[in-house]
Amino acid sequence: MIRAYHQPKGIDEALSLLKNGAQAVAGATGLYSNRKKLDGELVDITGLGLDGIEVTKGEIRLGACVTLTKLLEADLPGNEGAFLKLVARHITAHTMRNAITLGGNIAHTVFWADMPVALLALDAKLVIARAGEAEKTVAIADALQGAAPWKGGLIVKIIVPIVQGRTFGYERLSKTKNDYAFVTAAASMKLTDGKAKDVRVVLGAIQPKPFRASDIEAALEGKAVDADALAGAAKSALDLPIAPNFRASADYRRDVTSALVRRAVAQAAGQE
Amino acid sequence: MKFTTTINGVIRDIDCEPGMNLYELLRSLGIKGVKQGCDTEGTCGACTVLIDGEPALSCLTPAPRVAGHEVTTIEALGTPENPHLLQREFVDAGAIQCGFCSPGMILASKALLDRNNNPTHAEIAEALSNNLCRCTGYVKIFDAVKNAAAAMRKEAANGKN
Repeated sequence: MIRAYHQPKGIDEALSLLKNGAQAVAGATGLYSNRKKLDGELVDITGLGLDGIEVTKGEIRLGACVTLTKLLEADLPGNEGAFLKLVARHITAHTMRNAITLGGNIAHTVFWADMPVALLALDAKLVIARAGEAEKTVAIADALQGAAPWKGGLIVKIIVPIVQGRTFGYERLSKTKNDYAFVTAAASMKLTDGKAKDVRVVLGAIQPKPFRASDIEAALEGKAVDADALAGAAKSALDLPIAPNFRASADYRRDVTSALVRRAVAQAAGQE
Repeated sequence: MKFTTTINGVIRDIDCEPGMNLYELLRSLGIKGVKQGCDTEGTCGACTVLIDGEPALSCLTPAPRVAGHEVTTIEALGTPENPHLLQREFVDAGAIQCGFCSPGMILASKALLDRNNNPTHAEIAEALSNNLCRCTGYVKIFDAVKNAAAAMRKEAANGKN
């Protein structure tokens, strides 16, 4: 049962409530879809000014309470900006996007969450605040391993580095445009002299949390993305772990995963 | 908990359970224009309201969040004797069958036309993407929105002359 709904005006008050066990609520689309699971006090974090967007020479700095709608309407530079918007456009529909926040899409861990997949491909960082401590910056890959680093604290910012020449690929299979994904594959790389550098291959919706396919990344790193490389990536993808899921069988999703990985990598390499 | 909000232009002092959502609050106040068409998943849009002019799903909005803000429901738009432009166009286009989706559709359309009175088909589709209709097949709904947009542009042009 929700016993109290706090609406702090300042971040210190919010952090103190969170430290004492209250649950942060921003867009509420996840939390209020099943209020039976909520027990205790809620802290509304939408009044803390965490919805700013700042673009510097090397970074896009997004407040954790930036909504997907605000993201889509913002002037964001580079291939990074275009990629963020591409992913955001595929997340549910108009009115939900008015409420869904970036921080919420990370913190409310559901296996179909889309933004964490993009953020892994972007090498994003999270800035986490906690009462009585200095803000900490955590790489998204570390943040998604093990215990959530924002428990008892708050994600306040998402930092996306802008890297000249970085390209992206994104593939997502769902029944309708607005539906949750069965499988998502994202890829990023920097093509230098025809060779793929800093390759990222990310899978979403096939495990409880999105993850990087490090074996596939290593096989592509430093090499040309030719027919052999793509065939190799597709073959390796058949060995990726697929968690059981009530929405589709593992066998089906394995075949889909292989095809989507191949396509996402080909797109990032400018071939599709 | 207690808070003050403005609903359809009327300032209201609310005293409700902290965990209430806006849909429940509105219906408890006799405002029945918000409907439930899904399992609080954000998929149907039948509970759509405007908060400070922007569409929101009332079933997924914490009630206390509207403290200090303006909520608009379908009840604020026109009367049977004097319908709002959108209501008239929806009726004239045949865009209403059972009517269950209509309040949400009309409010989402209003929010679109208030910021863009010359929307493309794609822009209408995007603005209404969170509102499901099981009766009409959407074509006449789109016609109604386009007709309303045309009427708004004509009115704006006349206003300038």
